[in-house]
Amino acid sequence: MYEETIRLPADATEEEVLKTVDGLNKDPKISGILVQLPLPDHISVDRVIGYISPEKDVDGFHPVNLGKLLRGEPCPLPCTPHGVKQLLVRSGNDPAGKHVVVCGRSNIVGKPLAAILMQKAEGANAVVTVVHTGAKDISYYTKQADILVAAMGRPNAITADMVNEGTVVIDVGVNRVPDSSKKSGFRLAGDVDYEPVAEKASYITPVPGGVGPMTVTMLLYNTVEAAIWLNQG
Amino acid sequence: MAAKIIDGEQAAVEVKEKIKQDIQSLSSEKGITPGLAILVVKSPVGRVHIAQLKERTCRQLGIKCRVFNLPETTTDEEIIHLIERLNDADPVHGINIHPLPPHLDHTLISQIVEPRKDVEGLHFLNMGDFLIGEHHMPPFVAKGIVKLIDSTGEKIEGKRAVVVGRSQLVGKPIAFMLLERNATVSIVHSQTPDLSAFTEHADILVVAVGHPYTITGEMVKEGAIVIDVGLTQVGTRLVGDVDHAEVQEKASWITPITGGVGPVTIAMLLDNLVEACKLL
Repeated sequence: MYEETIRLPADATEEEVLKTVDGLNKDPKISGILVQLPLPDHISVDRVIGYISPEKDVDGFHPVNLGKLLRGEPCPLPCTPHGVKQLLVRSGNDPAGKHVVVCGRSNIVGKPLAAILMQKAEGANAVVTVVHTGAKDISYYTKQADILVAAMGRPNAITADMVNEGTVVIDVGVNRVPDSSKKSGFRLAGDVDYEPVAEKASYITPVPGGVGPMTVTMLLYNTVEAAIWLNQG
Repeated sequence: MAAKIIDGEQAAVEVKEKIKQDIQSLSSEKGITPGLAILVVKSPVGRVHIAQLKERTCRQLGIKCRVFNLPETTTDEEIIHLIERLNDADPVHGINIHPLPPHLDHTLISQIVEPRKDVEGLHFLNMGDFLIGEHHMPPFVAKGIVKLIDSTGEKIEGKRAVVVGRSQLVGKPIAFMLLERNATVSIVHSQTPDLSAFTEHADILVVAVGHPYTITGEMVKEGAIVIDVGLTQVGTRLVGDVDHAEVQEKASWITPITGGVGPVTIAMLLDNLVEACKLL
């Protein structure tokens, strides 16, 4: 795969960023464009993402692509939720007919994942419940899950008492937890209290090495799909 | 306990009051009279009177409304051509397409509508913005349902909401709108093995499947708020997705079969129209 990394200085203007995106939109060598977030405050993320040609939006966050996703039309799916779907299907845990409880309703994971898994489509067809900080008792819902997806961004938020025996647990969280034994001073932890939950779960993803590698893989998958689409003539 | 009836006509009156005020300021500040185009392709299952009802409501409010009655033989190309013309017409601020006969491609046709004139909120761009919580042009039926729930005086926040059905127009949008209002939301559908395992725990139950009597009394939690979006003609009668005789014994609030969701969704379509005009 051909790859190009374009680094713009922190003081680049929005116009400069848009111009760069525009150039890539028109460049036939490029099938996919990824804008690395976060952007500095003086640049509107919405405007930049909206400026990417939807056909080259391999991150799947262009509003047109999110709209297609919600309507169940073919489109590049946001990489992390797409990776979660693949993990489920490929581990033999097809979500069809299952109760999937998604903890967290972020725009990059929780909401798009819910929208993906509720569709009338292969590898979807689940009953989806989205719980969040506004719910009175999260464990009431997590205990009903056949498949539990933790995407709250809080280390060890899902403890063993919140999980039923035999649940499939997908941990999307990546949190930095202080750890003096590490050279960096921190270690990575998921949203799930791994060891005790693993005792009860039928399947579980580790952090790191679970959802993370899938996110990167789905980005490349989306890029190849975009290349095929763009070169159909 | 007999459920109180959610008065959709009254909720619609409130929305229309707001629209009237908006229309006054649009006229005085911008010199704009909102204009709506309604496209109706003749269809054996279509309900012609709804277009007439919308036309009458527009007239009452001071909205210019034009209904395009198209023959059953209309093709995708013809309807697309008409929409392109309406996209370019300045006096038209909103385009509403009535349910199309099956030979027409609704998804394709709904994407031709200019997003700023998409008062139904079904263009991919508007749906995508809606999904991430930016409600520039929210799907109007969902907006109406939320208004009905609010009219009960009950809080949505913290409640368990269950949406039965995952249609583009109702199920999927209302699920995300209730999530935005801090409910815990489950969406169930035809592929759900045991519907009642979910419905019987719902504080708020929204039903939009289009099958009469899908929800019976025993599937509903005592004290639930029940919104019945379904409407099916059975013989000479209109029946809902909910068995009203049974369910109203358990629910605390319920929409009537007519005069519930219908009036308030028409009002919300027009509300989207004036909101679109405000952005000009």
